[in-house]
Amino acid sequence: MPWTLQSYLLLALMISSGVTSILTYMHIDEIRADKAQIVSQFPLGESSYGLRYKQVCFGAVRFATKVEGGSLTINGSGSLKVKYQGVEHDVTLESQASFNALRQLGGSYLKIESSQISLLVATLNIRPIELVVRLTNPAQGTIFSSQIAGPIEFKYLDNNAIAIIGLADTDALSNLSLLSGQPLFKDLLISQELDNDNQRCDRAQLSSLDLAPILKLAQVLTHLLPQELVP
Amino acid sequence: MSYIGKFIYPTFCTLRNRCRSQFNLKGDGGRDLIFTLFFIVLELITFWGTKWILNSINKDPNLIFLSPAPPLSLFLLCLLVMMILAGLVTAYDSYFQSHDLELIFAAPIQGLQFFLGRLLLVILSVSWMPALLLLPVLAAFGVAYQAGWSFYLIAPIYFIPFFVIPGIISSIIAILFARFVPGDRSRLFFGILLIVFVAMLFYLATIARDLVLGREGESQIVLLVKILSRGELPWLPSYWTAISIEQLLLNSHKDLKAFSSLSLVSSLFLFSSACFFYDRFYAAAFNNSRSRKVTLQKRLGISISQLSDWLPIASSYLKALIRKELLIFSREVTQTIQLTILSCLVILYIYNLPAFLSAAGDSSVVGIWYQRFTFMGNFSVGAFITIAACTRLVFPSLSLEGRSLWVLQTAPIDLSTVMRVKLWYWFAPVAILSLSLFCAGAWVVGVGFTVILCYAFTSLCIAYGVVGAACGLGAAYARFDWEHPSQLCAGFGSLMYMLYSCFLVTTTMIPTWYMLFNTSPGFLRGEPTWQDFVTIAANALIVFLINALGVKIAMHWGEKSLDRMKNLAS
Repeated sequence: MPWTLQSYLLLALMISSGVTSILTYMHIDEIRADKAQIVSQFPLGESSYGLRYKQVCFGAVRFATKVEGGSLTINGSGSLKVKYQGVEHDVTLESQASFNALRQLGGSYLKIESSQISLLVATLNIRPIELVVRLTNPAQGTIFSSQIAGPIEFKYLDNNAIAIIGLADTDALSNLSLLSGQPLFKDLLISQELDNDNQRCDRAQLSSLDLAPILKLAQVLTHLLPQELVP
Repeated sequence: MSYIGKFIYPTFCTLRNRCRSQFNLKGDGGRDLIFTLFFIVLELITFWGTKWILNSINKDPNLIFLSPAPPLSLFLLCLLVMMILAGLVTAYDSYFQSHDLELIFAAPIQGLQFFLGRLLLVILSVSWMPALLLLPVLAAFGVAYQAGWSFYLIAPIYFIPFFVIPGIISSIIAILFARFVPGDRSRLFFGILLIVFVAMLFYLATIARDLVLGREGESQIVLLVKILSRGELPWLPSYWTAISIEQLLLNSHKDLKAFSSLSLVSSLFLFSSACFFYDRFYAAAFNNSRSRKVTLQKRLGISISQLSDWLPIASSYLKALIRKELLIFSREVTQTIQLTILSCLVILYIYNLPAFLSAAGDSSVVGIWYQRFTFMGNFSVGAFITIAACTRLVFPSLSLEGRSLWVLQTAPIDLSTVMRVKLWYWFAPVAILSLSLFCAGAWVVGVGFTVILCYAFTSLCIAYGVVGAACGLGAAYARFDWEHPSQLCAGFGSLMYMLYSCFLVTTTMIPTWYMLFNTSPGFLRGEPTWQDFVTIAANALIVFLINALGVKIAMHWGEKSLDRMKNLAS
């Protein structure tokens, strides 16, 4: 068959649409891979972490995971020392996150307690996720609530660990990533500690972390915190 | 453009004339009315069924949220595969085997106009039935996920590329196939191609099987989601469409533009490729498809029609009729393709059966109810594969006589005898198919020998009912003026036949279901009591009567319709 103008036109259309298809597919691939890693690696079983600010230890937390019939529960507890409005506080932490058999975060809470203040941060539902911050002591009820698109999911990694991921387009997660990129937070380290580690945080001799600059920065960048909490 | 429209104009005229013809409640009108009502009921059942399933899964959104994409992807993937396989047969017939080709080539129609017209026909004939099936499913998703009214208006637009792509892919494959495979070798090459296709399917099935069986400790819902997620193949249009619909349903339009653009651009790419391949290869492909050299069959000196000589039948006219049936079947390449496709489906189903049944749960935990449930699930799938086989092979068998039917009429046998010969000729292979499907399923579930025998009898009754209905309704909706055989499977009549057979199978299932739940628990293990035997016998009788009645009604309609046609012709 001789090559006619029609043949050349069809070939040109075929090549250009083919290339556009490939480019669109690659773009979609990027979009789908663009899931924010909330926690990039979290070991299964028991694990301990030290909380340090500029190399000085101000707290320690311990997590334990439990897998049952496909669902996963992460329990956490810890203690830290903070300075708020010039007064040092011993703070205890207690947390739990439950993932269903579809690996979706069904609910979670973080209880922060000190002698003067008691705060509960919780997420409810799968999609959309309702984020609630409640002051329980002194009792003021819900002081903040917001919605995240969800679902937040976990995936198994090869090295007996999991990663926790969520969609990157949600405002709350974008705000968190914006916050964690600041120089102030770069000095804030959460590092895993092994039992035989010589550099482990000594629970008995914790230094205090001044909350004022952190709360200020968080307020400026995210507008998530109520004004009265910021010193 | 007007030339392209000319290709679908005859189909449009047939439809218009059918609607305009005088409505006769006692004749074809009454029959069509019953079928239309039944079709509406079936659509409503599909709607309520899908809605119920989705609502059950998402009953407590605080515990589990199943996004619409996985089930929709799997459903659309099945439709896509079905449309491509059906499209292959239709495209090959439309471009190379159609009787009107010589007439069209003599007309002043440009090459590309011919291609576009035929492509439009292929797309329409392949997609109209899946589109009707999709309607209630889509509506159920809309209701279950509480979509706004705009969803029902916009969502169908996103399905256009999904319905166009299979027709185009089939056309490309058909043109390339005809270009590089000579006409006399096409059956052999189709066979090889399909063996490769089956091998690939087996490979994919093995992966799925390992995946499912490798996680025995996992809960039912995880397994369910895993099975549903098998349809999420990001390089397929079914996935792109499912994601677009998901975004419409959940009102999150973030990726909507990207996915719908990909669907559109890919359709354009495939369309331009099809046009290009047509432009470059069609002339040579057409010549190639008409090539009739010495075939392997002739070299060996045997013919498939000679099989009838070995049959232990005394009557010479019966032998002659069976020989004719074998000839009709063997002369159409498309029949061979359809048979191979169906064989693939059956093998794949039987191969995957143990994996899915054992993966779906431990029978010791969920007990006898689960065993009964999976048993009935297998019953339904087996019955519906049998219906699919009959739609493709038995239903068009009378119409395939084509213009030579009137030659047959001059023979000293009446048409009802011809129909009965067709019934018994097709009963044998369909019964074997049905028996293997039903008995394999029953054996896998681990039931006793008595139950397997009971099911073997039921499968034979269903095979008889479904084949008889195909012969009867094939005659009632006979078309002898077809241009190519695949037209017959894509018509209104074949839809009506499927509805009739579904009704027959569902009616058969009622006493079988009753029998399963009213026999002792030992019955399934092969230790029936005497009361069980009474129930089995009563069930067998009812099942046989239902199917015999179904065949009688269909054959009556067929004979009446043929008589009417004969009177009109004379």
